[in-house]
Amino acid sequence: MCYFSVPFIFLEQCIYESITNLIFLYLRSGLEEVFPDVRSLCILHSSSSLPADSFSHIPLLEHLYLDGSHLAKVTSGAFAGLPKLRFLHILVSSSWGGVNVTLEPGVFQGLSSLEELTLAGMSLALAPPALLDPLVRVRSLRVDRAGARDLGELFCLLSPGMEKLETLELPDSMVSSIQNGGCSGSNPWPTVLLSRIRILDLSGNPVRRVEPKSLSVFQNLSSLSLSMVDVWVGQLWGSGMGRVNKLYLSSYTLKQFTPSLSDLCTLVVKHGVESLDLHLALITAFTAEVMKRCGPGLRQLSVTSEDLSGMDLGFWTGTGQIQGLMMVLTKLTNASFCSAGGGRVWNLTSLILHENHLTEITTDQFSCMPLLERLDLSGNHISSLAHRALQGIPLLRVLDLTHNKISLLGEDDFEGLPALEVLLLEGNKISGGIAHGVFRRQHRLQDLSLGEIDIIYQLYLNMLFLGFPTKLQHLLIDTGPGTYLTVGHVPAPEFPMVLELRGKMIQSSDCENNMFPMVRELKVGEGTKFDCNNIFLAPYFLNLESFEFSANPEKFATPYTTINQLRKLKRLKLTNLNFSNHTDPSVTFRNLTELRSLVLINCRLNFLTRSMFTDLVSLRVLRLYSESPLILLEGVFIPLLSLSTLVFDQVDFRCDCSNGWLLDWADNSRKTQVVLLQRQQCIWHYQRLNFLSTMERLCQTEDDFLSYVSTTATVCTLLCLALGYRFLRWPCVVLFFRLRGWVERRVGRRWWRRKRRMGGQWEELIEGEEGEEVRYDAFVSFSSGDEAWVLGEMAPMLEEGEPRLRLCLHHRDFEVGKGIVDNIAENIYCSRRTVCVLTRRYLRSDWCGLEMRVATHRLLSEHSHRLILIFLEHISPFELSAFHRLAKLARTRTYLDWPQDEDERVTFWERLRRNIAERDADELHDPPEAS
Amino acid sequence: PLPLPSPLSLPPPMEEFLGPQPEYDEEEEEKKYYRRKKLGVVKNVLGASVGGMIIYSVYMGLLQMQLILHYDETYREVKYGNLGLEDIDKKMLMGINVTPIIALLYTPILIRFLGTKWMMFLASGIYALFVSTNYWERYYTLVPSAVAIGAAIVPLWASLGTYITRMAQQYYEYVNYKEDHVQEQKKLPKGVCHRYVIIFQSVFFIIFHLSLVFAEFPQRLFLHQFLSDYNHTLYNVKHCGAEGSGMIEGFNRTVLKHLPRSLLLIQVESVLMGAAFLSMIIFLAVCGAAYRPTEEIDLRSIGWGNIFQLPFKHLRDYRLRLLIPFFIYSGLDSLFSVTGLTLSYGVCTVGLEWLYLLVMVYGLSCSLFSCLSLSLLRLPRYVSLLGGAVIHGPLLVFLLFWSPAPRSPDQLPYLLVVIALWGMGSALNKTGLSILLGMLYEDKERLDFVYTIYHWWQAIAIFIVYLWTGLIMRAKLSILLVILLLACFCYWTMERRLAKNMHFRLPRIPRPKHKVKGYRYLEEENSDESNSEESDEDDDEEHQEEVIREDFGGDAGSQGSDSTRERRGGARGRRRRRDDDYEQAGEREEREKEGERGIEKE
Repeated sequence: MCYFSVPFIFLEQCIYESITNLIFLYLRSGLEEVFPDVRSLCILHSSSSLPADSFSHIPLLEHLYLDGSHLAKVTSGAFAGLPKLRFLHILVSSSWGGVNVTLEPGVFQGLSSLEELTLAGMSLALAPPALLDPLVRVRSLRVDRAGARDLGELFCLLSPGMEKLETLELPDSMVSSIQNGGCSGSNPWPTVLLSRIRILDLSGNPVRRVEPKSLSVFQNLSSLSLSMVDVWVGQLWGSGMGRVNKLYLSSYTLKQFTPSLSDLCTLVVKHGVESLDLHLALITAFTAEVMKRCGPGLRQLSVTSEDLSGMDLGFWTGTGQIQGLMMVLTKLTNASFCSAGGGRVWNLTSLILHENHLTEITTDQFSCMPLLERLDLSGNHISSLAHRALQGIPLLRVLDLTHNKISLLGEDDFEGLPALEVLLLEGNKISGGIAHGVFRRQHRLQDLSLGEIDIIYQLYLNMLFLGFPTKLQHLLIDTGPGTYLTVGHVPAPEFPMVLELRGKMIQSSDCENNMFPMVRELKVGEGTKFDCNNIFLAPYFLNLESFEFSANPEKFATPYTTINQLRKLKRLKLTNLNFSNHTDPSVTFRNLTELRSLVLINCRLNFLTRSMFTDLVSLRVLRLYSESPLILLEGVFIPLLSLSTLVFDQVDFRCDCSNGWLLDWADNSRKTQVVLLQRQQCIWHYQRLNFLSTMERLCQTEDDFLSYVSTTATVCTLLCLALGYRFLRWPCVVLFFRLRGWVERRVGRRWWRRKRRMGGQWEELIEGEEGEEVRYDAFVSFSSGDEAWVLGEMAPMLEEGEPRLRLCLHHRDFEVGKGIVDNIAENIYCSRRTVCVLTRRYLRSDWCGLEMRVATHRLLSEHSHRLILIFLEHISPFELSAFHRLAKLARTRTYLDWPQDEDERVTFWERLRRNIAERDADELHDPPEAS
Repeated sequence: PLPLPSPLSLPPPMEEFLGPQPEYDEEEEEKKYYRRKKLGVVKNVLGASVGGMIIYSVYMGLLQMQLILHYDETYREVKYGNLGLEDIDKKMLMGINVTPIIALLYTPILIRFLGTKWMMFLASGIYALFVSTNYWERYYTLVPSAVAIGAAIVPLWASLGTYITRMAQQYYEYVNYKEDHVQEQKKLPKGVCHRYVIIFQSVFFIIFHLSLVFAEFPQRLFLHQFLSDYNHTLYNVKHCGAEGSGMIEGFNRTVLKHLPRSLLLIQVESVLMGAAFLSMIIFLAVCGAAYRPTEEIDLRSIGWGNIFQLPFKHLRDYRLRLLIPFFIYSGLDSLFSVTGLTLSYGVCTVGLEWLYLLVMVYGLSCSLFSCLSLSLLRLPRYVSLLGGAVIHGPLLVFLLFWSPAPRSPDQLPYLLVVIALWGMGSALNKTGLSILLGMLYEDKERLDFVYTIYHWWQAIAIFIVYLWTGLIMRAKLSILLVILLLACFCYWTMERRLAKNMHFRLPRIPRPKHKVKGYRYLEEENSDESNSEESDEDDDEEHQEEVIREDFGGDAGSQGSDSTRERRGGARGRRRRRDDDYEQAGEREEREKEGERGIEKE
């Protein structure tokens, strides 16, 4: 279960720490989507700068891990608004030597609660002077792989306000010489501050030289780590440092540091070292004689990665006060400390001989260590325990024999260990059998691991103990190729148990026993069979709360839909199950209403559907890992009401915009945080593409659709408006007037009737008005260019003859002070006829056009009004055709031409006079043919 | 204008406007008026050309971009998965290419109903809709809009051709507004507006052919950065040019180096959409109507049945019949130059990254050599068409034997020369045909029928090209060559017959019947009653005349109408003469008649 192949160990840690309130995302899409109540945040920051106020909307943040592998600049105020932040880890580069990152002066402004600050892979050369001033509460400061050449680079950055600073770490840099060079500008190191430092870690630096008095500031260190290149240890005690509780010395690379034990002992004595760790150091003369010089102060000794195969195992007799001894990877072939000590008693409490070459444990091997409580012999080649091998250590509580070659567990092997609480035996191939009652003395046993059991086809659990240890809380049995597990008649355990079963075939013959119901946590691994009389075994663990099950997808044949009977289940992790063959996935997760966490790894599901998850109302965390393409159908996560974290470990999507719903859902669901979606890939044919970026590239369905709809609507509207205006305007106008007329007729008739009932006085009034309305016989519309003709010929001819006609001439009869338009309209409506004197000039005059229009309107609205056209000059159809209404009128109505011939003029005037004078009644019933 | 009732009651400008103007010079005013009108005509021509150019740039640019994108397997699969985009594209092309086949049935009706200007506006709207559907590419958006485009192509082109020719006639009228035949709106004398037809059509094609250049802008500015180079795209291509078959055999299924972001696509499409919208606005706001309102009403009033039949009746005219091979060749040429020449010869040799240059050069040469048609002002009219054929013929023979090796970018200069030459031929062909039709059919009442027929045959030819996509190149070239030779022969025959004054049969355009409700003319409902009775009589006569006409191809009709007119003529009826609506066949006789009538008139 690995999240990344990249070396971000802390990130992994980050994931494990608190998966429920942890957010993990790229800082590309902005942090706005992070919930404000988040406490821990891991960020993969892919852009080159970190802007100000990046996190100010997450004020409760306590842990922040920032991986900015392309980071080149951190803006001032980037971490503003994080008053509760306690841990800040910034990884800039995983390479050695440090990358230059521009830090603006106020970068750490506002981090008043910060307790731990780690800067990894960032060079300190560009750091501004008062960079760390705001960090008043910081306790631990670690600068990894900074490429610093001098301690001053870090020390001079420290500000006097950091009163709580206790831990200072500068590992994996380039410091080759430890010296007190002061700070730039001939300032000294901040001595007061440094003297309070308790832990100083300079490991991973190629220290070649330690200057005298260079470490004199540190008088009371609890821990000091140094890596050396060929340095005489004597330089250390010359460095002037005071007491050091725990000293960790290592060689920078292999075999570069060869201190002699006597020098080390001098160091131990001089600085009161209680715990000495040596790593990769080549120590010569490891003998009791030399050890004597170390004095009684040394309590813990740890030697790792050194060849100590030829050492004097009696060295401990030299001091006698060592309580903890750890020799890891030291190629020890035997551990006969007791026999080498010549019968002396050693007050050792912890002995760790992990990863050595021990082949057996001989009789009374540890009998000289009566106080031993912890013995770790894991990772050796121990094949047999001699008779009474583990005698004489009655206080032993923890025995670790994992990963040895023990093949036989004899009846008396653990007889002398009555206090044993933890016994770890997994990783051994136990093929020689397990004696009945092998653990009969271990009544206090809480934790037992056993395996791998080979060729033992029947394992009777109660027979191992002959009296089941009721305090047992953790039991691991690795059954290897498989076995029949029989619990037998055992008393019910006192505490809820964790049961781990590994092995290919696990079958149980007594499924209903006292132990299974007490099991709260069950882990089953690599099984091809896990059943009880061919029925899936899991449902017999009635009170199971956590179940991890990993199977062989090819061979596991038992249907496991009965998982849905485990109603108390809170955690479920299924690995390598084969849903596609044997089990109906839609019912497997039914009834699991208590389930909080569901992990599905390679379960050969082709589809995740909504119906699968309908009952999982309490589910908080869902993790999906699938090597084969998995299709998430739309809406699959909707039934998961409590889902807060959805982790995509690896899900191969199809590169297809039909997955677009997932992005929308992830964007819009405020309760659920989708983790690691950024890392997913999608496949088509032979290419693997990043899922998110591909989808982002191609599937902006909303924008597409919106643009489509809006542009189509615009174009259609324009089309409809323009065409409608052109072709439907008049039909609509006519329809409107007809409708209005119809309504007026309907309503008006009733109104008329009512009015008649009221009396006749109204009628008279109306008649009077009507009579008054007609003031003129004819309104003459003419252009002022034709004034001469109108005044000189027309007016005299018509107004002086018999019957006398009243003409309305605009310059004569228009009311002074009234608007022209009003005058025109009123006078036309007060005249019985309108006479238009048409000339070219008339056509071009706007006012005349208006008069004409009013007259035409009246002609249409009341059928009574007559429009008489007089063509004073010849106007060709070509010219007239520009005036479409007039052309139409000229074509459809009769009109008069002003005759050029003098004789014809008499007839012209007569006809005109007759036309004007005709009564309305005649016009209505018998329209006279004018020409 | 109106004299002022009271000087104080009006604001100064109105006073000025209304006051007597002693220096009013009627002659001068008239000149100014017609100058404005002429400018209006020029504006109309430029508007239609630019509008058509923009809408075609957008359409072709988008189509090319989308087809390339959709051709790419990655793009298709990733973006559309199981949508079956390839299938949709096939259907889309089918919609564009197949629908025009039935265009002959509805185009004249559509044009007469809407009028040319509004037809062009509607068509540009349909093109804009097609652009907008490319935002949201689904079966139910793309295919209907492609069918709509297919339905709009022939009407658009027929109205463009009619519009430009009609503008030439109007321009002539405005230039010679003092002439009697203009004033009385009689038929124009033969050949008087040829000059303007030639100029206007040439200008139109000069501008329009630039659309091929602008259509490559999306390709050059946007798509170019995503295209793989020829080593990738042409990796499996074995044959190019004459030896090839289909479009490009073995062309790589992936042509994109990386996929464009959809946001970028949306931006590009939005630019195209904006251009399409602009062209709609140009058609709407800049282009004036081609016919005066009265004329338009008359055009519409000859009866929809007649409008439907007339294109078919026009096919009886041997001039049109003999031009059909040329129409077909023109259609074949326009699609072959884009698919055959640029793809099978060009892209196949130098790779997709040079496609834009090939098409741009083609467009530029088309546009540039459209100027050559202006030479018809001096030279006989067959020069343009036959000149185009003379260029295309040898080129076709050359192409029959030229198969450049694939992946040889050094061939680019030769390709460009060939394509430029081909463009020259195409330009002469296109402008020549449009001009020829404008010259042969001067009658404004039948322009739309003739252009409909022309573009319908063109559409048929394009459909043929669409069908033959998979054919081997030599077969395509041979078909082209045969049709070209046939076209030249037929055209030459036609010119000879015309020179021999051989009569052609022209269907008569019926007299307009104004039976429509009065609101359209803003007149009394019964105002047309008397006229319509009379025109019924006319109809009977006309019917007889038509029979006669069709038998003899002579002009026997005008007397009848004259007699009707005389019956009506007491009051110096300056009604619009309907007689003009009669069609004239055998134009020489017609001119004589016209002369008689003119005498009788005044």
